[in-house]
Amino acid sequence: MPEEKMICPPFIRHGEKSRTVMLDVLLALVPALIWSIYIFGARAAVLCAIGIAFAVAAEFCCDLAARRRRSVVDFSAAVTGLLIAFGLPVSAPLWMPALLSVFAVVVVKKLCGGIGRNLFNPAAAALCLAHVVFPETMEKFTRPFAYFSSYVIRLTEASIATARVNTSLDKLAVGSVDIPNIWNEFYGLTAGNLGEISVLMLLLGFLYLAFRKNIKPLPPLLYVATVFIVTFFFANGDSEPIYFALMHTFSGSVFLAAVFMCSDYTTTPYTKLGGAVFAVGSALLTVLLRYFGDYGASSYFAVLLMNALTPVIEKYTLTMPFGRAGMTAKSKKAKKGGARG
Amino acid sequence: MALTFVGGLTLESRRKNIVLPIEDASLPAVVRLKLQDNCIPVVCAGEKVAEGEKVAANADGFCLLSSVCGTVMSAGDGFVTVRSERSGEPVGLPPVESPVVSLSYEDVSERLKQAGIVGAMSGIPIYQKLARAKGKAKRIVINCLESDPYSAHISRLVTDHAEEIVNGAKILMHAVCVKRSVIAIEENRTEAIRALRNAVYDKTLVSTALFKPKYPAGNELLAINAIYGREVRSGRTAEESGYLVLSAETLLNVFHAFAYGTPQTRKVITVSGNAVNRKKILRVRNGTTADEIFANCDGFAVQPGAVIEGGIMRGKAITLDECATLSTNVLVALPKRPLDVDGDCIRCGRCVRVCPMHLAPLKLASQSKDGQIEDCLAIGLDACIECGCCAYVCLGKVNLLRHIRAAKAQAHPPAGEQPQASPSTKEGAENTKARRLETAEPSSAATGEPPAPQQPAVRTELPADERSGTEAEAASAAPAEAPEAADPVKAFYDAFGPAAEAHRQSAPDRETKD
Repeated sequence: MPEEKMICPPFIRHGEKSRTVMLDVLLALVPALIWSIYIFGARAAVLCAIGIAFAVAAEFCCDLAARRRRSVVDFSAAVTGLLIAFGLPVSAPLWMPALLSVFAVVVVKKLCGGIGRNLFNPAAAALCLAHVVFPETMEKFTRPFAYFSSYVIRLTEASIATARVNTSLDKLAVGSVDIPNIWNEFYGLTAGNLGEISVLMLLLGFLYLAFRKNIKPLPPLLYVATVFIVTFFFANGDSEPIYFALMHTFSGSVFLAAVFMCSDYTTTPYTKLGGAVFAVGSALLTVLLRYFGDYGASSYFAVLLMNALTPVIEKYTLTMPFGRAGMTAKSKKAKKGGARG
Repeated sequence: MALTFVGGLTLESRRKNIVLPIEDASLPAVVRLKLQDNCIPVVCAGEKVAEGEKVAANADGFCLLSSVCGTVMSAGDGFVTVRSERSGEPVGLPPVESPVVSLSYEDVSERLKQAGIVGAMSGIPIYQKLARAKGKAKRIVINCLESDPYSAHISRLVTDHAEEIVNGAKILMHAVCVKRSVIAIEENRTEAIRALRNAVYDKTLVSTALFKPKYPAGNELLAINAIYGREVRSGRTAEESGYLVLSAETLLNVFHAFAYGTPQTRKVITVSGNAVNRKKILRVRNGTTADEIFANCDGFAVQPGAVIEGGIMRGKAITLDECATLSTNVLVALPKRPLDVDGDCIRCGRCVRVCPMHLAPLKLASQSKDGQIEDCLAIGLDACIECGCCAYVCLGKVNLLRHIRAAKAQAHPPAGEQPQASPSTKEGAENTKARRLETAEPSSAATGEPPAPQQPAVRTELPADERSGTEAEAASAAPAEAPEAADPVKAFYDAFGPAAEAHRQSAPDRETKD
C-alpha cells in the first residue's frame, strides 16, 4: 500500500522540532519559577507543579479520547500550565491552577482545533476566566517572604491577613506612585502574581529565547515600549511622568504577556508586520484597560482581544509575492553590494 | 559585501567546498535519449549512428544527437534507444569559417540548433532563450552558482575552463548585442574566482558579482534580484525583462560548439549521497541510466533506500533504470528511504521568513488542503519556485512542498486533462475520483502496473486534492515506484472496478459535453 507512496523533496530537513522550541520556552520560564519560590516559598512550586500536571494530563486524555497522535511530548501543554500558575497569587487555592489548566487545554486549545489551530491563547483565556469568576481570590496578594503552607488546599482569610498588602498596581489605580519601590518592582522584591513580579527574570528568559532565535524579538520589545510610551505621555499619577511610566511597565503582567504571549506561535500573526501590529495593539489595549478597568488582568484581556483579530491582521499584512509589483518596483529588501554589470 | 536576497537558507554544512576532479564516465551499454521539445526521430531501428550524429530534430531545426556510436534499437515512444558499440568515430560540426565576432544572430542560432545545446539547469534549448532575448536583453548573467546544496560541478567547471566560459559568453553577447555581462559566483569558491579573474581581461565587459552562499541562489530570478535589486514580473521570463541568465556549463558547451565544432552529447553531473562508495563529479553521456552512472562510483556501499535526481532539495525519486538527460545535475543515493512526513502546522512562521519569493507557504499549504485553489493563486501560488526551503525549516514537519505542488497541479492541470472540479464537496470528490480512474486506467493497461494507489479515507487531513497532486506527479513522471500488487490495492480495484466500468461506459457523453 502506501509504502511506495511518492516521497517528496526536500530530502534533508532541519533537525529542529516544535518540541525543541517548547523545551526552550520552558527553560526560559525557569528563572521566574526559581524567583517565585524564593519569594513565596514552596507553595509557589506546588501551584506550578499542579498547573503543569493537570495541563499535561488533560492533553493526554483529550488525545486518547480523540485517538489522535499523542502531542503531549511536544511540551506545549506544560508551557500552558506553567504560564497559568504564573498568573495566580500564592494565596490561591490549590484547585485553582488545576481547574484553569484543564479549561485552557480542553476548551480553549483542543476544542478550538488543537495545536496550531487555536485562536485564543489558552493561558491568557484561563487567567481571564479566573479574573471574571474568582475576582476576590485573584486580588489576595501577600507580601514577599511570607511563606505559607504548601499542602493546605485553601488558605483561610485569617492565615493570610497579616501578610496582605496592596500591590503597586493597586496603588497606581489611585494614582499614587511609590517611587522608591520602582527598582523593587524590577527585581521582583514585591507583591504580585507568582511569575509576574520579577521583570529581571522574565528579561533573562526573553534574552535566552531571542538568542536561540526561537521567538521574534520585535513584538515583545514593541509591547513594552508602547506601554511605556503611552503611560509616559498620558500619565495621570501624582509624580513625574517618567516614574509613572516606569511603574506601569514594571508592575503587573506587562512583561509576562510581552515575552510569552506576544511571541506565541499559534495565536499571533506569522508575518513580521503583523506581529508588530499585534504587539502595539495589545499594548494600547492594556493601557486602556488599566486606565478604565481592572488592573490585574488588563494585559490578558488585551491579548485575548488581539488574538481575535489575528486572522484579519495576517490577511492584510502578507508580503507582496515576488514579481507581483513588476520590474519597476525595486525590491526594497535586496541588499546591494559588490560589482554590478 | 556579498550580494544576497531575502530569505533562503544558509546550509552551514554545505558551504564547505567539495573539491573533486571531473572524471569521464565509462561507456554505457545502452543509451536512452529523451525526445524533448517536439523532436521527431530521423533514424529508425537498426540504423548505425555515430556519436554526434543527428537522431532527432524538431520543426525549428533543433537536433538531438546520439551520445554513443552504435546501433539504434528503437526510435519512438518518447525515446531513442541506442546500443553502443566500440566501433565508429565521433562526428562533429563543420568548423566556423569567419571570426566568431562577425557571425550574425542567425548564424549563431543555427549553430546552436545543430549542436543541440540546451540549458544545463533548465533543459530549454538555448536557441529559444536567445530568440526571447533578442532585442530585449540588456545583460547576460553567467550563472556560476550551484543549483543545489549537493552539487559541486559548476565551480569545478569554472575553475578548469574559466576562459572558455567567458568566451562563450562573449559569443552570445555579440549575437544578441548585449554590452555587458556579469558573472555570478559564490564568494567562498576561491579557486573558481581566481580562475575567473585571470580569464577576464576587460572588466567593463564582464564584471563579477560575489554571492553569499545561500541555497536557492542558483535560481535565475533570485540571481537577478540579488544583482540588480529588481523582481522579474511574475508570468514573464527573465529574458523578456532584459536579463539573459545562462549557466556556466551551457556557455562552455556553446564555446565548444563554435571553437571545436563539438555538439552537446555529454553532461557533467555530481553524484553524491552516503550510499555510494565514492562521491564523484562525472561527465556522462546523454541518456546513460542511473545504474551505470553509479557503477562509476565504485558501486553502492549500502543498497540505496532512494535515488534522487535533480537535487536534494527539489528533486524527485527515480528508479535505477531511468536515464540522465542533458539537464540532470545531481544524482543522490540515500542510504535510507526518507520518511514521508506530514505533521501539524504550529504556525511558527519560519517558512514565511525563509521563503525567497516572499510567500506564506503555511497559508498556501493549508488552503491547498482545503481545496481553495483560487485563494492560493491570489496570494502568489504561481510565484513559488518550489525550492523546498519552507519544508526544510518547518518545525511541525509539514510536507509543505507536496501540498503546494498539489495546489499547482490542480490550478494548472497538465495538457490533456480536464480542469478538475474543486474536490471539497463530496460530490466533487467522487467526480474527480471517477474521472481520475478513467484517465489512469488506459495508462495502467499499457504499462501493466496499477497506478499509484489511492490512500484510504482514514487520513482525513489529506483529502482528494492531495491525491490529485500525487496522481499528477505519477502520471507525468516516468514509471517511478513500481508498487507491488499488495492486497489493499487489489481490494481497492475490486471495489472500484464495477463503478469505474460503469463510469467509462458513460464517459464519451461526458467528454463531449466538457
